[in-house]
Amino acid sequence: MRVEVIKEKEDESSKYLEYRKIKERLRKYDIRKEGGCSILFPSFSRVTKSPAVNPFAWLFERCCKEHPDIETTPGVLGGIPRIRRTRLSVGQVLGRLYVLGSIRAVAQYYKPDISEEQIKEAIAYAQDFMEIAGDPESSETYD
Amino acid sequence: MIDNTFGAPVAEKLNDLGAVTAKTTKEYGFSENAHDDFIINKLRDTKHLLLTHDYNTINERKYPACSHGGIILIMNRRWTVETIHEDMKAFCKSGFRKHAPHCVTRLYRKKAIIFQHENERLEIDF
Repeated sequence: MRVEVIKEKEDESSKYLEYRKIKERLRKYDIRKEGGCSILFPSFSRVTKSPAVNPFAWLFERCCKEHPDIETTPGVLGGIPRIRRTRLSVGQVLGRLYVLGSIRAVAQYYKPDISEEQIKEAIAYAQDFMEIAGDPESSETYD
Repeated sequence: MIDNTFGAPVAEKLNDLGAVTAKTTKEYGFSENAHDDFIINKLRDTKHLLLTHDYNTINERKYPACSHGGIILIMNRRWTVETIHEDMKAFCKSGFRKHAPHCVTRLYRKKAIIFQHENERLEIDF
């Protein structure tokens, strides 16, 4: 059991190192001109275990660990974070919140598919994602 | 077929148009977390069009024209029931709706781009 935990930590740190390399490359290239991540970063598929299109897949998974109501599944919404057992992405929930103005209104709109608690969870997930993505070197947020 | 993202309110409003019959994926019997491929493959069999907002994951690159029943992507990020109703109404009135089956249509506020066989683009301004 302990071995598994250590192995998981090693995997995590290797993903992090890969992420730092990617960040360096991103500084040098404009990926839109180069035709997308798959050309620049062929190793993505190995690092993220998903098609080489989403460099943040590992971060999605990382944030999911702290938010059990949010999940990612390859093949459902292309693997982006969504509310558990629905086809509602975290981004969509935020968009609805922007348009409708309150958590209650969003819950009412999607009634009975999602609850207010799940909407709060999606907001918290988005916050964590932004903060870790903005400062991945911070041990406070990463470890 | 209306994706879960839009929910029942959008389906109800679109039915007011008269020109379309809209039902949610849930009403068609799909589970709430159905896989993208499963829904798209069903479109081919049932000859329905899917109305969705997930343009990052369901698009003409992943699901090229002629491989499904047809997909309409709402491109407005801050959509409301009313804006979708207006956009769909404008699209229906444009006379180009007949091109939508088996193709991927990106529907913007004032225009639509239809990706047809072999990625031929048809651009329409309303």
